[in-house]
Amino acid sequence: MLAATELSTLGVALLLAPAPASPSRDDAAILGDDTQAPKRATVERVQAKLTFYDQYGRGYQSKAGPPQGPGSERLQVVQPAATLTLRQRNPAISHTFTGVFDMVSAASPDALDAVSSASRYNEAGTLDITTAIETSERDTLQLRYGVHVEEHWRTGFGGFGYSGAFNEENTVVSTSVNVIVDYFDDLHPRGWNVSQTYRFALNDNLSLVQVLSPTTLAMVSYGVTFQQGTLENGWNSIYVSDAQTYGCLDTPDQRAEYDCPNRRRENLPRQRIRHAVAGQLAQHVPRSRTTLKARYRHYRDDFELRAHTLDSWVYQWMGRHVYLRLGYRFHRQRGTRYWRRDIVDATPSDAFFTADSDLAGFDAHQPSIKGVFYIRPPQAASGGAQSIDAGFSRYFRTNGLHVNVFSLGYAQSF
Amino acid sequence: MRSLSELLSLSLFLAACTPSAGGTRPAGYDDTAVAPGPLPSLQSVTPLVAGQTRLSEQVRGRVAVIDLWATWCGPCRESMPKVARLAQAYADTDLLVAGVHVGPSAAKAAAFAREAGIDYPMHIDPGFDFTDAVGSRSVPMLLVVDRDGVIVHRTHELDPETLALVRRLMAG
Repeated sequence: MLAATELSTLGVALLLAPAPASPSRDDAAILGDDTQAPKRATVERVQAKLTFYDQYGRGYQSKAGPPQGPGSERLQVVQPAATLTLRQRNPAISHTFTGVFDMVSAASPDALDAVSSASRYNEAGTLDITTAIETSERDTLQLRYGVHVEEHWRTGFGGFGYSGAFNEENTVVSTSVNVIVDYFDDLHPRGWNVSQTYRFALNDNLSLVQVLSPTTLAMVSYGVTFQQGTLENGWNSIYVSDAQTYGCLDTPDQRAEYDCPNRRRENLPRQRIRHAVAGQLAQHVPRSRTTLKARYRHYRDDFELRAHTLDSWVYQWMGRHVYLRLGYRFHRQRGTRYWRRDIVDATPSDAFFTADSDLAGFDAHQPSIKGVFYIRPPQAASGGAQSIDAGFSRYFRTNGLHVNVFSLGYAQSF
Repeated sequence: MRSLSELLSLSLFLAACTPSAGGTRPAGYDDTAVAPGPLPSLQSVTPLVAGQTRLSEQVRGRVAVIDLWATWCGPCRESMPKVARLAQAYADTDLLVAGVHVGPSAAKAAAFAREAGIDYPMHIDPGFDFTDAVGSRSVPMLLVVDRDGVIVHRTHELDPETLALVRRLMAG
């Protein structure tokens, strides 16, 4: 039995204890934070990704092989990347920071410095920031800026864009202007750093997204890019088929311009105008929880490179936690008029030529598969989505290049 | 609709939230702009958990907020915590807050409601009969029903306007 004093104390305590409170019925309590601005900046999403590229192949621009080519294009890249999206205290403004770090082991640059192998490994980093400012419910301004730095290459880029929703928000029009400035070592095929050089690109894009039905979405876009400056990448070279000297000899009678007698650096015009038009259709099938996407892109430029690219994807949910994405890309390209396998010694120094296999004519195929496992499904009843993913794709093309791409990812939204 | 960037990146998932019912509605039909009218027959709507009271009986003489939703609908899942908080806030009154899963897959819907900790009554309209009769073309769809069984308000989102109406109906 409790003593009287204890009962008395307990009674007072019970009287003082707050009655069970009814949940508040005001708007903020029921609707959550939707009606209130956050009191501080909040992290909306974090994402980490690790991608491994394993490339095999041969191209005539590479001197990592027999003098007449094609040389090796062997390349391995380990690419960790992270993305963080922050929303400011003013909820109309958000910033997305993407950091990418590349660790490259490459055969082609390696061939520049075959003895010491000092350039066998390369590291590169990119910081890409997008600031979105929602000026109204229907209008968003975007600023994009960042830098890319690697051993012999520095890039700065910046631009702005606008997206507006119209037609009861069933239509979204977006436009953007970007400037990219590359400042890089003007490398010689033998590996000498001849000088510093630059190029810049001005890129304009216009796109239209139209909701055709509650489950159908269409998009068309057009982009034009103007490039000016040194358009060669510095290390690409081309075989001189009738060179009097076989191989590169580091002798006193070497040409004054440090030329390697049987290879010359590629030579391209200082301007290039590129156009790309694309159309995409996406259809969701609610009953089977399948989304089908198809995209066509046509590219042309004044180097007379023409390309047609067809992409298709199937997204299939399997239960609440898993979806698979299957993709296939076909790309057919007519090479630039400057592409050739080799030149002759008498080729004028002001003639344009390149042996870059990326600028040759070829067909490319890229099947891909990606699986996403949601530890917490998207837009779950409580909390943000949390997922891990794994993917593989194989890129192969008819002019002797193939790349295996493996990726692992993690994403968390709040 | 949410921000433009979300529209661009997630539009398909958002666009997915449309039941197959209502296909005969004319183009441009706005399923929230329907004049007030009596609640259609609830015969096709059954409790998600066997043995519970049917919605047709629960709703009789009560102010009700009926949430039409589906497991595959992201915005529905986003909306459900608000509906749950509404149910909790009015738990000591006779306001009926109920969910109706649109379409088949009762087991999935029950599992989802259980995992999400939804404690208001859950029902299912497996053949879209009620959904179609209501004229809903997309989910989530919240129906506010007065004590006379008249649907007085429809919305895709629980918003201050809807809450104000519920307060008025409960006060009246």
